Amino acid sequence: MHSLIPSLGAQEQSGEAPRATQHVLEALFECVPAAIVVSDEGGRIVLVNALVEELFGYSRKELLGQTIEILIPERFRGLYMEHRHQYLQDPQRRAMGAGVELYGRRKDGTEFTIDAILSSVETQQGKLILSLIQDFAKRDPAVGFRLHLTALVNSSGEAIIGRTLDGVICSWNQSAERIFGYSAEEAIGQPIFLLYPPNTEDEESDVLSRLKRGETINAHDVVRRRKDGQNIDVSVSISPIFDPMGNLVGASKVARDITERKQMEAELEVRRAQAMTSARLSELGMMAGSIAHEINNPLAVIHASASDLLEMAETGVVPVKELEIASARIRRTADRISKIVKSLRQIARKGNNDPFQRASAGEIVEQVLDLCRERFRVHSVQLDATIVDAGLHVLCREVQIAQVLLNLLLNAFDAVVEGTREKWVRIEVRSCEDRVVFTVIDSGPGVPAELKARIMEPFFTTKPVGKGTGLGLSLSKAFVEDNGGDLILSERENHTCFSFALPRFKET
Amino acid sequence: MQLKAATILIVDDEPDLRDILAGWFRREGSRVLVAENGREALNVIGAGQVDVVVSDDRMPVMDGITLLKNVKASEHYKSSVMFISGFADIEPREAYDLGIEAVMSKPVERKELMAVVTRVLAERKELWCLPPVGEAEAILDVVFDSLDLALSQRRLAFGRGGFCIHSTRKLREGPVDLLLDFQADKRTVKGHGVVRWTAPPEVEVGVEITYIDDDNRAWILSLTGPNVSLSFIPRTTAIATIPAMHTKV
Repeated sequence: MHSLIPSLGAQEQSGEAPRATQHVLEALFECVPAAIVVSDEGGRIVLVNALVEELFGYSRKELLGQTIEILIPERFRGLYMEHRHQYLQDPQRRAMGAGVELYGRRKDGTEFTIDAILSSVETQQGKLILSLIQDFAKRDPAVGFRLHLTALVNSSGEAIIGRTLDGVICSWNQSAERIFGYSAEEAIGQPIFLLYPPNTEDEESDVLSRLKRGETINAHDVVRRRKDGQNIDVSVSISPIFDPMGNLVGASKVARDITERKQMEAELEVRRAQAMTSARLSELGMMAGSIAHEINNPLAVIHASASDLLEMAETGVVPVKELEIASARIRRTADRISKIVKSLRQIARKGNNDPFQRASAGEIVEQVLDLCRERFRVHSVQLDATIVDAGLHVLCREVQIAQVLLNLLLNAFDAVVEGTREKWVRIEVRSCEDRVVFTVIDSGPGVPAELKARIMEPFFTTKPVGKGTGLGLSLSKAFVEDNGGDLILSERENHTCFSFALPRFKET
Repeated sequence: MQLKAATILIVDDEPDLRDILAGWFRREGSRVLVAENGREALNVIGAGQVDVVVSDDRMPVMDGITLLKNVKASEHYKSSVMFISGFADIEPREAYDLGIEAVMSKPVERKELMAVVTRVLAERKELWCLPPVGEAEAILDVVFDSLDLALSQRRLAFGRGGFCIHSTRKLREGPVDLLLDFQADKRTVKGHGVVRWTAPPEVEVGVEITYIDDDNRAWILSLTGPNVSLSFIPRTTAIATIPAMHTKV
């Protein structure tokens, strides 16, 4: 070591006493509870003690001759050079970087917070700078914990903002800077209104009164304003901060940028609406096809009868009997069409905003049957309906319930129509205490067990592409729930059975 | 055969329509039988002579297509079948290939129906004699090396009432003038027809023949006799319904 510190006590180099002093100094140099780095004016390391090795992970050999920057993270090197320069201009013993955290860099690249005190000595070889370095965190456990918290706050992806009761921002982390666009210098000391869009300041008084009651305000979505004037969707939670005496002194506000979530939600909503629209169109298309068939035959009858009448007129031969038959036929057939059209008009509406009203269970069923009887008939699927007591009324949105029943009947139709066995679909209505139970059963093979759980999910379909939207049952379920019931899939004697119960309307 | 000598079977599940159609044919002097579905119709046909079956398509118990297939598959295949349909569950291309004579859609005009049934009843030698009034908007003008090559190269296939042809031009459904030139055979067939279906992308066209010039009528008739094909118009030139019979010609 002697040779390594030629500058220390250079004047006393020749005597015994100075040698003793030298030893004491050397021992002292090694055992002070601080890492000491001695460097020359150029920043070259000339001497280090054991703690430096321990703290930075380098051996002495590796450090000697290197510039002191090796111990400093790259991004702070410029700052350090400046400090050193200033120090050399005005070399008083001073703590380095007051108010700014200093970092050391270990051999393995990790960083840690340090305290550094600079001092200098003049020697024959020139000025030497002594840097006394302490691991900041090791100095006091509480300090370490505080640093840990600081790091946590800073590394959080959420904006963490401290505020006083007067609504002044008093702390501001890196994510706050990222999300709101203000730097800590710009935000701290400013009123919290800085972040409020115009005309939303009222929210603040509400927040304040709740904080004063000691309440924590759980995450809720609000709109705030960025530095660039853009509004931003954030999810905010606010907690009160108490001093050790239990006095409310401020609040911490955690804000998360939910722009992406909001956009995704909006996109999802658009897609859902599109899917619903196309499903409705498709259901409407299928229904239109069905209705066209229901009325085309009667139309052909009217057309043919009218042609006969026209021919009679043209020939001038008008047998009264035939005239009567043709006219009666036209009228009867037109009535048939108008009944179908009436049912169609009733059911093809959007009924989800209708009031809940008294409706005849029998009439709902009759309406629905009007719209699909022909389809069942031409495909030889037997369609049975129980006779419904004319006095039986339910409280519901009639249109929705008719739509549900039509959907269930047409599903049942699809389930049995391709089959070779007997083909039937049955609709039953019965009253059960204060409820009215609607049931649709079909002769099909039933729903396979593995599909039962999924069958009412939106977009789940067993039908081939283009045949079903997969929304029918999920919509039906939603409609029934709207009306205070629950659509249930069960089995009766191995047949698929859908049922739901609605509140019975009580005559007063 | 004339209408007044014919036995017509009306098959429809709509009683009013059945009555009206039956009335129309009775007025012409035809013998009229009725059935309300395909199954009943088959029973009626099995019990005695039926010349033309005028059937609905969609019916309970047995629909029109199944009835048609049964009629055409039966050993004593005599009845001609035509559809009056509200909604065809079958494409015209398939229906004509199955041997149907005509497809009309509801509602149907009495006079049109009588004209079509009269045509269906006509003896083969009476076919395609009357030139059309006026010219069609489109003309199907095709030059072949020879008839044999056209058939073997599958550019053309004949049915009983028309042909399927590869056309380089897209034709619309409806009336069409015909100008078919078979060079080696030294025949230029002039005539008239109705495009019954077109099928892109391969651009096959199904044409029902309505008129052939006097010089070539017998020749074309010999190519299209009931012994050639069950099809009224083949669905494709590629697979003839009875391929072996084409080579006979």
